[in-house]
Amino acid sequence: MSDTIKELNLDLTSEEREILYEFTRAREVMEVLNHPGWLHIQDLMDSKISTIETKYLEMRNLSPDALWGMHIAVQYVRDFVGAIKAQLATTGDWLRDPQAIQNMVNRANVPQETDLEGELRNPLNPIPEE
Amino acid sequence: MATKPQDFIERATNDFAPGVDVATVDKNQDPKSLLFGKDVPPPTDAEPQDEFFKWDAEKELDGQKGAFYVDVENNGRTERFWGKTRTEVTKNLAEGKKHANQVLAETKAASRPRQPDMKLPFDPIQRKSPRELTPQEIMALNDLPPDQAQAKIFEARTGYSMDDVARSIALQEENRQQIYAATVSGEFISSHQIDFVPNQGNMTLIDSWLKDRKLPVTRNNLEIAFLELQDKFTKPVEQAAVPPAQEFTPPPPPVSPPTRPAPVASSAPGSILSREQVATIQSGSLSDARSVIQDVFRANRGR
Repeated sequence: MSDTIKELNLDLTSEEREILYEFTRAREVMEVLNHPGWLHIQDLMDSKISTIETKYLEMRNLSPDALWGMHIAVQYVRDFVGAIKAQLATTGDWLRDPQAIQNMVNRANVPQETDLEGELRNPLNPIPEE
Repeated sequence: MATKPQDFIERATNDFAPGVDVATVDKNQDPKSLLFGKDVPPPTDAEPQDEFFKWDAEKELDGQKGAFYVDVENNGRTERFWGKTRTEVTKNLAEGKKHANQVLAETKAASRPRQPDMKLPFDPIQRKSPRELTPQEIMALNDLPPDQAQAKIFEARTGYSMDDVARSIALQEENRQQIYAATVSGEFISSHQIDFVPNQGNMTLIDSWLKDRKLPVTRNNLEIAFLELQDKFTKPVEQAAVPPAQEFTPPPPPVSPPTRPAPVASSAPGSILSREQVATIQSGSLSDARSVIQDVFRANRGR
């Protein structure tokens, strides 16, 4: 029974499970980035964007307002892909720094501020003297 | 009394200010240079002035002064097409019409509802309803050669001709081969993720290698072909662990915004990770790394 509990991480706190999940996500994303297929996926994304650019920006005889709208639409797509790429590239950054790993693991042991209420002196909420 | 008809000089000077009696023109004067400025070419004689193509003497096109134009109403606004000659304006108009046609066709195609397919892209094998042979037919079977009689009995009982059955079996075999080849290729590709790029060129190389030797697609044959064709494959690109930073210009949004400030390492409670543990977390297998973290959590809480 205790093995099953350990296997399912039921004995870990939600904070610890969250850290474990964040670590797993970072490692798995890094694995995808190191896979040769990731280059192909990037190529595909770039070619799709250039198709969209051709479709929207090379349309002729548009009113200036419509042309402006087309540019905004294309910029949305560029921003979206850029944000996704940036997110993926930086998700696993903290794994390269041993201190960051230590901090991440220790995060589970930091008590909630509300747990320390009344135990630490707080100038905004002074403890009345007897 | 008949009125004296005016000659052309009189008509031309009708509106002149008083004091000018006669406009004199040199005998050898070129009428074109008289009527228009030298920079401004007149409308050609072949294309007499009309109201559709308007002339703007001030407009400059390709460094030449003067151009024709046409105004076209377009949903409340005016679109203007320019050209050095009327023909050029017409060509520009036609170009505009071509683009409008394209957009119209695309819009129409997008708005047209899809038509359902009424039949399959291949001819399915039709089945007749099975039936019992009539006594007359059974009598007639005696006069037929035995193979034809057999075919007739088979068709009446099953609804399929013998040819249909043979075709069906052939198709089934073909499908089985294709499914097997697809399964085996999938296994092959997933086991060679690092040293084989499954692009079209490489796959065609393997396929033609097997076909040349009349070998079936099996896992073993794929491995042999893979070893034989090592020199000809497109190799996987060696890449750095992290893609170069300049590819990703916008600053990254945070993965998950922290709900409270990160703890300082020295003051944080909990055990300090050993060098081996950090190495496992960084580059060990995923399950090992996870179990290291789980163990650290449990050790910190005294379990």
